[in-house]
Amino acid sequence: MRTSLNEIQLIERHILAQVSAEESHSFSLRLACDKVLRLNFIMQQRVYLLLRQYHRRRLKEQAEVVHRRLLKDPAHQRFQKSISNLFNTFQ
Amino acid sequence: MQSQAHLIQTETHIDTRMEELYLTSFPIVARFVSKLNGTMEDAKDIFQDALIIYLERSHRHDLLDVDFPQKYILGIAKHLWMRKFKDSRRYIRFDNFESSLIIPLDFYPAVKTEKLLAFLQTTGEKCLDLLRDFYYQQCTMKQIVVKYNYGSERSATVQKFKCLEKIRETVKLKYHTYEDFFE
Repeated sequence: MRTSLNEIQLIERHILAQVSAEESHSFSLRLACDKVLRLNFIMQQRVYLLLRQYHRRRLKEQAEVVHRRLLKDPAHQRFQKSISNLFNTFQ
Repeated sequence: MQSQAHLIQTETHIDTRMEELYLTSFPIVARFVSKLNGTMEDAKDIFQDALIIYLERSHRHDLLDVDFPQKYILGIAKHLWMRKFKDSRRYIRFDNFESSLIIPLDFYPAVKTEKLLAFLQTTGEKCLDLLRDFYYQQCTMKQIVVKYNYGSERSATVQKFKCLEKIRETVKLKYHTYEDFFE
């Protein structure tokens, strides 16, 4: 792999805590004195945060599909009735 | 072929699991919401968020103290309701278990983060999907090779890091546009 990808892999191992205490310590020292590495590290942390949000958004879409299916499928009439009794309607 | 079959099985499994949880837990949350004069839409919204939080935690296998998913989902739903309707605290009772539950800190992102994600979806959905499959769907490299038609696990691994790089560079470029994201 090219150098920049190796760096991404290295940062990932640290963010996901897949390194020994010794490796973590020496990486912290590098972060302290390498501005570019530090910026890349911070940006990569944000990438994982975005990925988590993306994952949640996709799960929500899946949940919506299940919701619509259960409220329409004749096989789940009991379920539908229990919900409609609470709200008096399917909004 | 085996990996493809397993992948389909994994995706079907999530759908089946969601359906089971919907059937057993949604009526409980809906009853809670209707007692507080909430609407069907409120119930759906709160339930789906609680469901996602439950699935995330159960995926990490750190729900050893929960006998029933319903109990966890209802507890989280109460917290979500409180967050949504801040003045309703006095109407909601929490038992000890429910009081101990917390909504993940990053569950409701800042608005500008949402904008960045929307931008990323238009520019790099394939990468987002690949990374999601790897980090959150727990797909193996073998499954990713099959799903995305890579030549080998090695090239799939390289592609994974290229995708991380691509998204990281986009995030960097948007640094000033979405400055709040970087606070």
